[in-house]
Amino acid sequence: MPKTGLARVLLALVVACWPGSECLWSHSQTSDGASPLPPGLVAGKRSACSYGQVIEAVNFPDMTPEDQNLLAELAGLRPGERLELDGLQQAERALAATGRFAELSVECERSNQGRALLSFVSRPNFFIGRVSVEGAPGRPTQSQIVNASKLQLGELFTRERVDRALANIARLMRENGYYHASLAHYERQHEETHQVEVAFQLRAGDPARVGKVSLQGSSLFSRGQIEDIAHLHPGRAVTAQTSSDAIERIRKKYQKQNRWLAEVSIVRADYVPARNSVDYTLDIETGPLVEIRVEGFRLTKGVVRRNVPVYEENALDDDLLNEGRRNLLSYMESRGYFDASVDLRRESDTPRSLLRVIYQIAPGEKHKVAKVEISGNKYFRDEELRPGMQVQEASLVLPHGRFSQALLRSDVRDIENKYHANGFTNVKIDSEVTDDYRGVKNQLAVRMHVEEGPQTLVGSLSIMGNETQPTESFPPLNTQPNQPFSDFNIAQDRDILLNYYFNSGFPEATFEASAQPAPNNRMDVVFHIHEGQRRYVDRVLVAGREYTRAYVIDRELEMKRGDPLSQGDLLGTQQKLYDLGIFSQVDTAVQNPEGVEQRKNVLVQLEESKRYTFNYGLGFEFQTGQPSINGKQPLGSAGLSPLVSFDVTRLNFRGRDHTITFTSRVGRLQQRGLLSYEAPRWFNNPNWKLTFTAFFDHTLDVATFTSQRLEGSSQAEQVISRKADGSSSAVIDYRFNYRLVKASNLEIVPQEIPLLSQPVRVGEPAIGYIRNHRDNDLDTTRGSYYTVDAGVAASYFGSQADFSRLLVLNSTYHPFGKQTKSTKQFVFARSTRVGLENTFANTVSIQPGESVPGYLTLIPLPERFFMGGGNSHRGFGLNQAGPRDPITGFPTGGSALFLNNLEVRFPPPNLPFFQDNMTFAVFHDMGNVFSDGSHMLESLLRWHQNKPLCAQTLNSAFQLGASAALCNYNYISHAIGLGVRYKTPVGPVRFDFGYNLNPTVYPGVIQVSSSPVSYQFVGTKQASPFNIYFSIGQTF
Amino acid sequence: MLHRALIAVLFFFGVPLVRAGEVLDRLVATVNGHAVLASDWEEELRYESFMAKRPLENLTAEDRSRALDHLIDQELVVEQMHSAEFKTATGEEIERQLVARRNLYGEDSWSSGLRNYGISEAEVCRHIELELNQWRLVEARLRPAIEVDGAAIESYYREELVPKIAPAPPPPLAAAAPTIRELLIEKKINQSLDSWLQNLRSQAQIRVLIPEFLPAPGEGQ
Repeated sequence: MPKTGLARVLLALVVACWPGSECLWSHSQTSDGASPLPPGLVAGKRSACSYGQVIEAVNFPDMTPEDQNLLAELAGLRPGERLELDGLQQAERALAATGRFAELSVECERSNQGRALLSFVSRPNFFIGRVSVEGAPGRPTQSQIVNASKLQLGELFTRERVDRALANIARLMRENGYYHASLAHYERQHEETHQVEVAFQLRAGDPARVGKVSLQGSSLFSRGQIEDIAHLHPGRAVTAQTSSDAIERIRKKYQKQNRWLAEVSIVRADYVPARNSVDYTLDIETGPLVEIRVEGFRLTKGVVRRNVPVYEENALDDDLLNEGRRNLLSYMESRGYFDASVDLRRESDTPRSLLRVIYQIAPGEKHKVAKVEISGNKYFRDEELRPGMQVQEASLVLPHGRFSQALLRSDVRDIENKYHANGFTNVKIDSEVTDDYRGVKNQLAVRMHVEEGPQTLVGSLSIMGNETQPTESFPPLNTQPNQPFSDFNIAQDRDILLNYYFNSGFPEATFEASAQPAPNNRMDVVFHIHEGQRRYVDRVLVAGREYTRAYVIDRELEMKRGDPLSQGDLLGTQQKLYDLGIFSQVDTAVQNPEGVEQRKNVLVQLEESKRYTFNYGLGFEFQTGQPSINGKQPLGSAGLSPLVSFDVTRLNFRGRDHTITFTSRVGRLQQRGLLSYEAPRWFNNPNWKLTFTAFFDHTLDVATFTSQRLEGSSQAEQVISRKADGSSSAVIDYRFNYRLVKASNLEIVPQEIPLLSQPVRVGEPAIGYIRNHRDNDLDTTRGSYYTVDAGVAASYFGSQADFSRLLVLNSTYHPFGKQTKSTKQFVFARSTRVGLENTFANTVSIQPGESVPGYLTLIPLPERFFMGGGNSHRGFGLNQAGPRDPITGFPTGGSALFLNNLEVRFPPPNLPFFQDNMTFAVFHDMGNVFSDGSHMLESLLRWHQNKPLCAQTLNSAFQLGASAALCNYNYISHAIGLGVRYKTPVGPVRFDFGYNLNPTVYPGVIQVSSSPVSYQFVGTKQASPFNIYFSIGQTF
Repeated sequence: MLHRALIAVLFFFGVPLVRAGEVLDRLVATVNGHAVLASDWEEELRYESFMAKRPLENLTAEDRSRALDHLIDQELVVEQMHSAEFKTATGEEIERQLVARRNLYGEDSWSSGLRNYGISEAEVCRHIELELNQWRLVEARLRPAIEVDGAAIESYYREELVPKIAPAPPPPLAAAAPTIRELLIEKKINQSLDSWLQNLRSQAQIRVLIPEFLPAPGEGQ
């Protein structure tokens, strides 16, 4: 035994603290990594540290210094304070509430000074990251499987959630017929971001097949027949819809036989593992035959089927029958039978198993709404109240008007709501219906008298509780002093303010409103805001980037460290990343959304699109005046032109969001191949885009020649201004084109062929400006569209022809007419186009048939203006307008162009079968192509072609040279017509029928001798006045 | 020599002794993000044992598990309190309850019991307040949906009360009806309470960090 006291004490200490005793206890790990509890009840005895001790330091091991400071602040335990149980518990609860810790324990050591050294030892939580599936069988799809897992990006990753995900996926597979599916999953933890990627590996196996089908009840059909009806043939693969489709098909079969009360259900669906099949037991009760009749008024079967929803819902119950009664009553009222009544009765014929449902209609007298009058309204004018009303006076569109008590009540309610929303809380509207108005039998007058009452205005508005956000920073509110007081405005202001707070980093903000009466019909309003804790962005964690460069993504992020956490920024980031077009999936979420930490990590999970995409298509064009291959028809012919297309796109080239595209079109009239390289955000500026293009084009869209074009171009596009939705409203593009143009198969005077058939190089810098203020590019109802395109082809730029080009287009759209609840407005659309080409240096413009000195050249045929067709002047066939070759009669184009289109577009009527998908338009097109600009100016008021000039003495020799200019094409051609448009998901499909009021006349000439060449005039020819066009999209 | 050996042994074992952190407290469960601590658990065990006069050394794993379950249920119910409207317990009511329990416990053994079980009267008051408020919340939530009709009262009177009191004459039905009604309501509340708590558990995110006390499958997420 030790002799000295110190040794005894020390020995006693060692013995007392020998391993295995209560106070020396080490960290041993249980199977899940958690530390076991200390012995004792639960928390063990504390002997080294005790409550009441002074705290020397508080540590958070394995945390960054920044986190240490944050967590120490949160814990609230400070060196120098005394260690108390309450304080310690509060600290633990505050830290646990952050949601960051899977495990948390507080360890204490006694320092050399006898103070408490506290350490918060923790194991971090992990959060769900990317969830992927391999081996999806196609049905269910990969997305459906991922959704079924219910693993949400950013949420806490727990074993229970994974187990539930596995169970859900297994259930989904079984529902889709995969009873043998095997599922494994793999996890990949990222320590630096605390994210876990979960990958499910699925082996679906063979889908189960339909096994035996048994029937119960009384089905009237044999088992085999039921199998055929339900498509429940043994051996057929089982899918998620097998049961529901089978029931639906059987029900429909019975309903076709008027057995609307048939009950069909699958009482058992037993899986047999040995056969990998599902045996079905169906229970069918056919119910009685049901006959639905209308008595008392003759209605077509179609009207009954449309109004009695039994047919649409494929079911029969009291609710549907009563709805049918109401619908039939409304139908009668819409036909002018405002006094009609509809009763419903059932007659049961049990021996014959028959149920009759009879709608008894008493139509009453037919009426007409002669007058609808509103009086007493001062705040709202009639023009503001009538458009929204359903009760209508008789008109062209509604011969009897529209009236029913239900419609009248609805109109009264709507008008009252309108007044309430403007502070007239005591408004009262009385309605009166007078029959035999002005002594005319069955004429109704509907009068509504409005007693507005006093208008309640807002006296004062106070906003309280906005401690961090000044009132001046709020968006404009509807509730303002001296403005109408209404609950509707307050509800809107609630949304405005809460949206503001949610987008400013206050996800827990709440709003309440109260109002107190004040003198002079005023209400003093108070908005109470509770801001809650503000959240900030900590780190932005981007995952899923494989090929894309980091800067391409970073420049689209709308959030950065330290910003308030805004839902709007999250959505904006998602939208901008989608708009790049290089990601097939973009998800954004907050990591650990349920934790109460002030700073949150934001997750951006990306899935890059397939970099190569292939598109192919088949289509056709149809119109009159189409050129025919090797045809000799100056006016072309009507016909179809088939078209095949094939495109390859390479996205995200070199990870920089650059795109390389190859497109090809091969058809009867056109063969084209195009290769382009597009670099958006040139110089990292979102308003600049650079494009390089090379293409080859072999086109026969002008009957006169086949054009070949080999072109390279570079274009820089600058967005000058944008609309509120981010799309461009004004754009300038700067181009340089260099092309080799050749015309072949020329149908023109022989002496021009050598010149015009030579290939010509054109080097042309050009500039274009587009200003688009249309409300909708595909179906415009208001706004304007303006473009200017100008270019110069000169020898300085390597061009062999010297000319300048200017093309100006201006379109405007004006809605007019009444817009009601059920109808849109008319639209008056106008488009004016003016084009000019000026030659200089050695290039000239000539009249068709004029000779050209050898040292001069002409504007190549493919570079001239042509006009005519469904997208320009609908009085001509495709590119048929303007001057014509005096010998062949083919159009030769010109150096000047004028076109004006006027259209009145009707609102869509509600038609049977088409509903409101079909619209009509009437149009007037005027314009022409001229050989030069001076002829255009002098022709603008010339409405008739000088036809006698085109005629010579019949069978006389036809002179070229000066006499070729005798036939004058300088006039404005007019056409009127009717258009039909049908709305499709890809835009309106358009048929236009045009009639030219003054079709072009030109000389008819035949060659009578080839050596020497001589021609004979055989009479004038005229272009067809009728033209038909078929295309997609509006004309302009 | 022995002195030096003792010092060597001391440094070998004693240095870790003064340097090893010992766990003061730790997280044992979370309920919708709210922490349940080991110290909470210990306090609950001591309180329950005190009220039941059960020796601490006889505590079994089942007792520990039950106490942890009570704490989890308590957290769930306390969460419901934030959004419910009911009358909270007043100071007088808590005091009255405390006195009643003290009387039931026995004045003499009360103080020594508190000492032996390592809890204070303030902690007992806190538990009483929590229990009163919890019961009031349960009543406010569940009582409105409970109905007891005359037939049920009559049936209880005939089949339960009369046989229990026999051979003493039973009170008239009309006189006993209010008490029987209250009794039946309380019974139904108790029955509803179980299913309500199960429902709360199924919707809650409960994590138990002590593996041997994990909840049954299907409870919590």
